[in-house]
Amino acid sequence: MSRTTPLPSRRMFLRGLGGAALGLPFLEAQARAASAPTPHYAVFLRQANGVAQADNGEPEQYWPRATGRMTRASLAGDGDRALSELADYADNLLFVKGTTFGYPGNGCGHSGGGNQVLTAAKVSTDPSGNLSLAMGESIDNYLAKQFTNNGGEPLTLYSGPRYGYIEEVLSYRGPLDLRPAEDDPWNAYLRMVGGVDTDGFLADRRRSVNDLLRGQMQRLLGRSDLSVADRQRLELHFDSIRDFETLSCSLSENEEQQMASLAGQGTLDDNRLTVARLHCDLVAIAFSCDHVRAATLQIGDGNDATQYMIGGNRAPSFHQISHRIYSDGSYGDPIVGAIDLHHQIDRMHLQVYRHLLDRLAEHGILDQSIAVHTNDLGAGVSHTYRNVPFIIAGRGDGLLKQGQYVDLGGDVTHNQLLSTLISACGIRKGNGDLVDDFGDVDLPRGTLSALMA
Amino acid sequence: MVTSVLIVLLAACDRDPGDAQRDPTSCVGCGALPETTRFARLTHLQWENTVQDLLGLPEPSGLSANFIGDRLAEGFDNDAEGLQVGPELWVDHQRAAEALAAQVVGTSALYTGVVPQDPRNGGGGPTETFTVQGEDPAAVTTTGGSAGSAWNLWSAGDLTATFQVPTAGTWLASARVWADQAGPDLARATLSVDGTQLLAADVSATTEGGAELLSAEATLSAGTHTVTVSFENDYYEGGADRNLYVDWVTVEGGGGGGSGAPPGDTERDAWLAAFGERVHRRPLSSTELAEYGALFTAAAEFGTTGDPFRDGVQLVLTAMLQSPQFVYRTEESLAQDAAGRIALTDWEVASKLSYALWNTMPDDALFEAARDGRLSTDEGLRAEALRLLADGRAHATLADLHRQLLYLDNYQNITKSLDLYPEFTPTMPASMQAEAYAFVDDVIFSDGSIHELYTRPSTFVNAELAPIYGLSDVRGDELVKVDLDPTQRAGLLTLSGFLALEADSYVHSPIRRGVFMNFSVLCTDLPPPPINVPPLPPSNGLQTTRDRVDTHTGPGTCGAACHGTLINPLGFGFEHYDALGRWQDEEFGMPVNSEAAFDFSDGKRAYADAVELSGIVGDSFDAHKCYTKHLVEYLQGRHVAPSDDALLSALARQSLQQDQPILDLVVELVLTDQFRFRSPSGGE
Repeated sequence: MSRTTPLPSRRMFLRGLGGAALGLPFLEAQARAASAPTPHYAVFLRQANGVAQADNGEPEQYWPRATGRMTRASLAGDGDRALSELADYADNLLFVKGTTFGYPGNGCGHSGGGNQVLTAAKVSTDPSGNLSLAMGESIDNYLAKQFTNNGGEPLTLYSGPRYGYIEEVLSYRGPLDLRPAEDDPWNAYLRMVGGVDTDGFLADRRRSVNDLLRGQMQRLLGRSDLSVADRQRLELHFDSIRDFETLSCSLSENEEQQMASLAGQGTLDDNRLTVARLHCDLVAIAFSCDHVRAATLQIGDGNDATQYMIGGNRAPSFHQISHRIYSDGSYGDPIVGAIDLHHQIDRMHLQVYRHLLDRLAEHGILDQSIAVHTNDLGAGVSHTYRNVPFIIAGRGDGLLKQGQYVDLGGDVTHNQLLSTLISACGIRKGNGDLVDDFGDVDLPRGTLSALMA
Repeated sequence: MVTSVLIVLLAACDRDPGDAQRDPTSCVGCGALPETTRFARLTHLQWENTVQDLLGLPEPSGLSANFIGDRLAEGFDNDAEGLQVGPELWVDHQRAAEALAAQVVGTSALYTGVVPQDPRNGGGGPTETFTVQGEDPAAVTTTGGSAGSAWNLWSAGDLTATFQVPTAGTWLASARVWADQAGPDLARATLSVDGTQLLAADVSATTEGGAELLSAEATLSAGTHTVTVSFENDYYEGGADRNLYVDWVTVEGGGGGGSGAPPGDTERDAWLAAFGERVHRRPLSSTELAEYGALFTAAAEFGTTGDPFRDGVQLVLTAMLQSPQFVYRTEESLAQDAAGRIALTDWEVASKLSYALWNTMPDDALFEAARDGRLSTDEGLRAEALRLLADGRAHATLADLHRQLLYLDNYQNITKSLDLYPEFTPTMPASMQAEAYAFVDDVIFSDGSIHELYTRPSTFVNAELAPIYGLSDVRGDELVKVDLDPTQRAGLLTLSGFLALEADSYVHSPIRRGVFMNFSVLCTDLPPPPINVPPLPPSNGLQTTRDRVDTHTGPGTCGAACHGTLINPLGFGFEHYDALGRWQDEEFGMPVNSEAAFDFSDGKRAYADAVELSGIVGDSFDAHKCYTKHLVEYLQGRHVAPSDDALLSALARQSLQQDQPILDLVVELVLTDQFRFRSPSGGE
């Protein structure tokens, strides 16, 4: 009497047809086999609005008391400092204080910090203010290209609202070329999985469609009358065409369920950290599948205005807390207990970072990863670019010190830190030397031996 | 040190004496053409509208809601320079294309519309669709409640719709559903016809925009039949609540089908040429036809429907919806005229016009005008522009322009201190947003001019907005048009939403209002603020807000250059409006002072308050030029270049001198060379 018409739910899409191959559209298996014998992974988490550290006359509540060697016991012993949240991972951690960004912002400290933190590039003069952009590529983009040698793209994730004063700020393909971020982990997962091959012919269908599309794109690219910008636009599009391949792993049903249940709701304040954790799950699975090797996660918009729940109460806007007043601008009534609220938010963000470390450890890839927790400001009130925290977990290829807290003094431009991290991912210059030239060409070059084992 | 900073700021805010004094000869169309992209990617809004129109979908697919976003643009979100297809969007387009192609071949009403060339369509007459909305009392329910435009089955139970099926045959029963998810499992739904279950499915969709379709075919006799959606696995624990929403239930069919001969190569080629022309928005080349034809034929080898023709349609449709010719609004003409300009083809003008005024593909009449060569004449282009502007889609387009120009999305973030503004409600920002949309639409589509936009003393209020304007006799949630006290209100800049948005929770903000005036109303060249400005002290109730701002940013301070000359004078004009937009004569018991003067490009003008300021703005060359700039940027999907200056000045002067309706200005803009020609790309 009837037959069902296939418009399956997403659930059926992913799992309902036992044994059907899941598709992996991005990964070039050949390229993977040809790259480094032990793949390295790099992920950068970013919190906004600085941290509650000693600055502008406020007390130290973030860093441990003593630099140098740190242990689980020593870190846990500094229980009044936010970084004690990470005590369980003391042996895997390297804390770096005392860097500075190379350039001032251009009208908006948050935007200028977000533009620089992963690029070490200048900040644009046009556009400026809250719309300013970085004038160079970001480290995740650099690493993704190096890791795959095949136009590899990093995973770019965001847990924040839309229609904000500033939205995503972190990942750049190149000067002024900000990469859009995905705010829904379920959507990012579906994109990664790519499709389900119900009849064994999906790969054929996609290949024949893609062949036709490549032909159309090539005819456009073959024209001699294209502007440089249009050629770049078409090349990015052409390089984005991927055929169907098979994904080697997927989330558990429970994890899928969690992600699906928040689909479309990731931009709500109340989901900010929950979604950030799901993004961390996604990064871990994407790394463990070798789907991507570099990722960024931005928590909160450029000047994170999330009203976090703290101790069962809804706090004022984090941005206003970081200013210590009920205002996003420069005058307003004081927020009682703002410094402590900021400290509590620092802890909540470090717990998300710890969740990421848990997941990387569960998948057995923490050691070969570099997982960085950072910020686009050092502290909220001053909007300083000095002493922006760089919390680093994982050994990379063994280059980095572990179980150490290093204070570089405050004047070391952080491009050298980023170069050191690149080198720690096993990347070398053509002559075999460590990479020492990431970031803006006008900044002093080098790697930081103080961070190396 | 301070001195040198001050000099820099002064230099940055030192203004050009102004174009009002420049050559006043009409210059529409003169000036070099700006270099623009020839591959303007459809915005997500345009993509959504286009697939709906192209495929005849009864409502937007909602698929673009899951597309990766585009980066926040400096101007409008349709500035083609920033619109790219990267790896994420490529996958998004692929998934959407596959889903839509499957939907078309799986839905007879859609298939018949997309492929009228298939002779098996319509054998028994046109298909019919009968719909019952979930919230319609005609839908019989055993549980739940209305949820706006849907029914919420909030515990396990049924929703049953009854249909009168006119003819016997195969009918497709469908229900559009989504769910609140909770607990370990997804929501589970079944679909039954006349009490017989035909389908059971997990529902993972969680939003109305992303709702799923449950569909099953049934052979029915003519007469009364029921379709039932059942929610099988309710869950409620600790506040976690699983619910199933039913948007609507339909049965469709009656087309009979199968009576015509199976289609062959002739029908295939006819479909490819006709439908391809609508996808590429121009006739296909022979190469394109051959490639699509080959794909169509190859599809039979790995098709899904068991019908080679439908397999071909499905696969070609999948490809077409990912084609660069679909995804981009391409400009491929090459022939240069004597002046070195390249005229867009009629087809390219048709698309440019349609996306400019409708944010979607051309309709049949516009394609016909292109085919007839009418769009390369002034009269033909003007006639089509006027026709498009008379359509509801033009209202939506101009609403989208002003949504962005006035930051209407940001209204959702408006909050006010309930200590100081106890009448503020959580729904007020949405009312303020609706008010702004209604006001702008009313001015523009009653042939209002830019002058009227800034001066018309009327607005639209409901019960919660009325008190802001001192009105008390308005009831209910619906907005009604009201006249306002012309001594207190004038146009766009005295609407509640603008005044409340550009304010803090506690107190109004002359600085933010002044910055908005500079950026959005007058397009002054306001530089970004310096970094790390010291905070102003909080209000102590002993100074008016104006005095506090003036003390710290006015003449004699480091902020003198930008604040003293550009920001504060404009912001101070609005001192009579508090943080909610209400009129005030006193602040902290002190009289309010809204007198100020601003140096417009055609001279310094003093004003007593925002009403006078609005009148001056409405008569100012600067405001007309600024609004014209916004129109050019949005309607052409680009940012203006220095070479556009002559064009903007000429259009602005005309608008000002003739008090020209904004809609006429739009038509003038469409008729400019900048709309109909492009510059050579320079090549490589």
